[in-house]
Order: sequence, then structure tokens, then C-alpha cells
Amino acid sequence: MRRLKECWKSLQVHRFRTLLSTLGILFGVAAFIAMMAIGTGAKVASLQEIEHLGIQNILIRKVDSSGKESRLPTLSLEDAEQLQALLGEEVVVAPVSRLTEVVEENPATLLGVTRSFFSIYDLSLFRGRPLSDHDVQKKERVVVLGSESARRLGLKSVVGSSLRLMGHDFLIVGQLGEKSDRDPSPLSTHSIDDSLLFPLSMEFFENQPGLSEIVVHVKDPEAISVMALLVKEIVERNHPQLQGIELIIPKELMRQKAATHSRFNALLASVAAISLLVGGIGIVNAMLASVFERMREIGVRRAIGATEREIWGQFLLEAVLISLGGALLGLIFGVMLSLGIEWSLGWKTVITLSSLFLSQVTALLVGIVSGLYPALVAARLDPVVVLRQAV
Amino acid sequence: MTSFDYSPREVVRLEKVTKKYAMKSGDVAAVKGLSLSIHQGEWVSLVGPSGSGKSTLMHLMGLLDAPSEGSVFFEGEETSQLSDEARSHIRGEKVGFVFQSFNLIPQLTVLENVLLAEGYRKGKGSALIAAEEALDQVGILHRKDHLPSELSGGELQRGSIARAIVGSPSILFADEPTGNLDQETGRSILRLFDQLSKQGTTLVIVTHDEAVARLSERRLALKDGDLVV
Repeated sequence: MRRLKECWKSLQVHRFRTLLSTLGILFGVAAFIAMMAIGTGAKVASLQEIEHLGIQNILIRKVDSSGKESRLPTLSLEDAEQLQALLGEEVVVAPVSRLTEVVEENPATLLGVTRSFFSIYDLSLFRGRPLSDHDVQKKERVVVLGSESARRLGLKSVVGSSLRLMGHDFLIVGQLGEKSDRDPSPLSTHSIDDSLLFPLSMEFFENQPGLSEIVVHVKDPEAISVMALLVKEIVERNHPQLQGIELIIPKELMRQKAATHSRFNALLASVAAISLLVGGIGIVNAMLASVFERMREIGVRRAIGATEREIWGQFLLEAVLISLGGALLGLIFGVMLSLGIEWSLGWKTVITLSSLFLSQVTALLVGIVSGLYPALVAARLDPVVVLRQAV
Repeated sequence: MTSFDYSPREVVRLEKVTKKYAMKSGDVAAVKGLSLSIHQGEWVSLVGPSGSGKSTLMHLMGLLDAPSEGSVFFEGEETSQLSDEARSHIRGEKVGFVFQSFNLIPQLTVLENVLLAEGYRKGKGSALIAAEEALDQVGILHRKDHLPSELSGGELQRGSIARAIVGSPSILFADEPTGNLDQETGRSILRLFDQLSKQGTTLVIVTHDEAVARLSERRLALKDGDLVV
């Protein structure tokens, strides 16, 4: 304890230099924690986005960015029926058609769906009912409003009232619940909350060149990979080499994303580690300056009985104290920085216990490694020489 | 009346000790084949011009340095071949040093400076009591919580002596202990050494000052690394 007090007093002699060395470690640790928090946050957000697509879903989408669409066979209702027929009870297939139309002077997404769409995405209703098989079969002019669409349409959106669109009146039979984390997703071609959901059999969908998307929901999560192969094989029968078709398996995407993010996190951690290394160089610098300034003290200590090992231990302890101080302050600053980034920039950050622990251990190691050389220099000083120089 | 054949214990003995330093122009001997003994309770002064080898001899006797040739016995133990750690332990236990420039560690209080020496001893015991006793003996116990920067030259040297005598070493080496002090303060420090000598402390004082040397029981004069008496 007395040794610790002595070290503390020695560090206080050059407070500013000690502070600068501490700052080096502080910023290194803070950068490490913040970068890990950003990296983990990005990973979690990204995986959540994929998860929103439905981890048990396989998405078959029409690729509509090439401009060659018209020459290619498009996704059809027959494709959906064939998938359901061949894959049987193991899956639920939901065909989706999509178009954009101006509704009440605002552009809105119209989704043509069936009853299965509601069950696959587990859509809860705030009011009214979902679309039924009867609505689709009988081409009933009914609509279910997404929560955002309902808000935009105001009073006219009350369930039971009518919505005029494309020269027809549609009965509002339901309104989806408040916007949830299911939606929207950058990977999704449609935002459910912003949409108006119609029976797929409406003529304006039937006039479209095919479906936008077919969602295949696999009941057994373990069977996703096998089902994905079967789906690919079935779709390829009508669409050789999947021309104009994109097959998305969220579970596979998650695996790939997780791997990518692990590499990304490793990169961020390496950058932060470089900051810590710079902090370590600061400690080496400060400790070497301290050794050369305190040569007389070292000589006196050696004269009154200190061994080389004791001198070595003393200077090493001082270096470790600097790094520990920086590490603890850096931890606080790093957590604040991460929260600040989330608050100000809106980036999702996730602070994990492992990143906090790793930052402290790394800083401690940096302190030890940085202190080794100056401590060795101090220990190796010849007491006779330093005492003679000091007189 | 009964007479006793009293033979004091030998604290330090040097046998044909030479200390050479490697210089660019070749080896230079600071001490040349020197033999001598210091006995318990003696007050010995080492005098001689600058560069005569006084400090080197003191460092050899105080086990701060090892000889290039010859043997240094400390309380009968040959120390020339001992490891640095073993010599450090002997210094901590049995040797005290007082320096011309006091050399109290500036960031520590006087008491902490004295405790520092106790801290390096193997059998630490009640370090605080020993340190306070040493400060009391040199007359600056009331200044124990002061930093060296708050003390006068005489008080600093007394603090330095307290650090050297704490734990009752076998021998005390003082290198020009009055060199940085005014006459009056120097005399008070010499009175303190006289008092320590009378209490049985073995003293070796390195000095330029013949007046200081005259106070000692034995005077060893050095010139070019050799004894000239």
C-alpha cells in the first residue's frame, strides 16, 4: 500500500504529463468501446432488418431494375399455386402484387394479397378484420389500411366507410395496428404500414405484368435450407436459370451478414487498438522522461537497499497506474460516447460486457508492455554513476 | 582494577582492492590494490584531493560497487562475488548513506523518506516507530510531515541522517555531509555525528575539510587511488 502511495505521489509530480499519458489511453479505450458499440449495433440492426423479412420465409421476387423485364417470363399466380401444391402442408405460400397509385392526392402503395399474407407476417388489426378467402374469390371491393395510410387519410379511413379509387368505391374493412418493428425494411419491396391492402384478384392487379413477389413461409425452421433448394428447383422449371427472378433466403442472408459484420467488427477493433497503441507509446515516452528526471532518486533508492527488481516494479506500477486510470475513465467516456452517437446520429449502438472487459484488459496489457522498457532502463541504472551525476 | 583485552569487531575489510573504469583511452584505476579495515564504533575520515578515489572507496566499502580485483569483506563475509540483489539486501540492512546534497526524495515527506529506507529492509517490524525514533534522534520529529522543499539545509541533512540511521545500520557513510551547509549548520551536523559516534555508530566520512577530519579517530588520506598516510 505504501508503494502504491509512493507511485501515486511520483505521478503527481508531473501532473500535466501524467494527464496527457492518461488521455492517450482514455481516448484509445473510449474509441475501442464506441467502435465496438457501433459495429455491434450495426450488426444487430442489420440482422433485425433481415429478421423482419421473416426468418422462416423464402422470398421469390421479380427483378425489375434491368428494363428487360418484358421479355422475360414473370412471376405468376400459377407459380405460387404450383409451389403450394408441390410443397404441400409444410409451407404457406402468399403471392403479392404491388403498384403505386395516387390516393387522396398522395402517392400510396397498393398491395394485392391473400389471407395467407396476414398470417405469414402476423399482422394484427387495430380495427375491423383482415382480408378473407371470400374477398379474394368473389373479388370484393374491400380494403385494409396500413396504420400510416390510415393516419394520412384521416377521418375518411374509419372502418365501414368507403374509399374511392380508380373510379370505384372500396369498403374499408380493417385497419392494421400501430407501426411495429416488422417494417419498413430496406430489403423489403413494400412497406406494409404505408400500404393499402386489397384482394389480389382486383382487376388493377390482374392487369399488371405478373406478381411482384411470392412469399413461401416454411413452418419448420429447421427445414429452411432443404425447402430453399426445392423452391429453387420448382421456380427454375418455369424460369430457367432464374432469369429476372431473385431468390432471397433471410436465414442465409443473416448468416452471411453475421460473418461480414464479424469481419467489420474486427476491423473496427483493430483501428481502436491502434489508438491504444498510440496511447501506449505516450506512456513509454512519459515514463522514460520520468526515469531520466529521477535518476538521483533511483540512485538513492538503490543506495538504501532497493534491488533492481524493486526499482523495476516501482516504475512498472506507475505505468500500470496511468493505464488503469485511463482505462477506467475511458470506459465511462466510451459508454457516454456510444450513447451520444446513438442519440445524436440515430445509429444503433450496442455496448456489450465483453467489449468493456476486453477494453480494460487491452489497456492493462498496453500499460504493462509500455512500462516494461522504461522500468528496465530504471532498474539497470548504475547507482554509482547516477549518484555521481546527481551531486 | 581489572583490564580487558577488548578487540572490536571488524565491520569492513578490504584486501588488495582495485577498481578500474573503462575509458576511451584505456582502463583507469580509481583505487589501486588497497587494503584496510574499519572496526565497530570507529570514526574514520577519508581525505584527499578531488579525483583521489575517496568516493569510489566509499562506494566499494558500502557495497554500492564491486571491485575489479581483490576482496571486500563485510562483517566477515566476502561480498565481491555476491549478486546485486544480495548486496542490495546487505545495504538495506546494515549500511547507511548520507550525501552532500541530502538527496531526500522531493515528493515524499520527511517521514516517508525515512520510511522508504525501512521499506527496503527484510525484517520490517514496526517501521513507523523506528522512523519516528530516528527523526527524534536527529531533532526534527516536529518536521516529519513536511516536504523537503519546506525544510532548511540543516534540517534536510538531519532528515538524510535519520534515513541513514533508521534500523541501526552497522556502518554509516557520509560523503561531504557539511559541503552544502553554512559553518554554523555544518558544526551542528558534526555535533550530531559526534553524538552518533559516542553511541557506538561506526562512521566513515568523506571530506575535503581537514577540520572535519580532525574530529575523527582515524584519518585515511588518499592520493591517486592509494593510501598515503
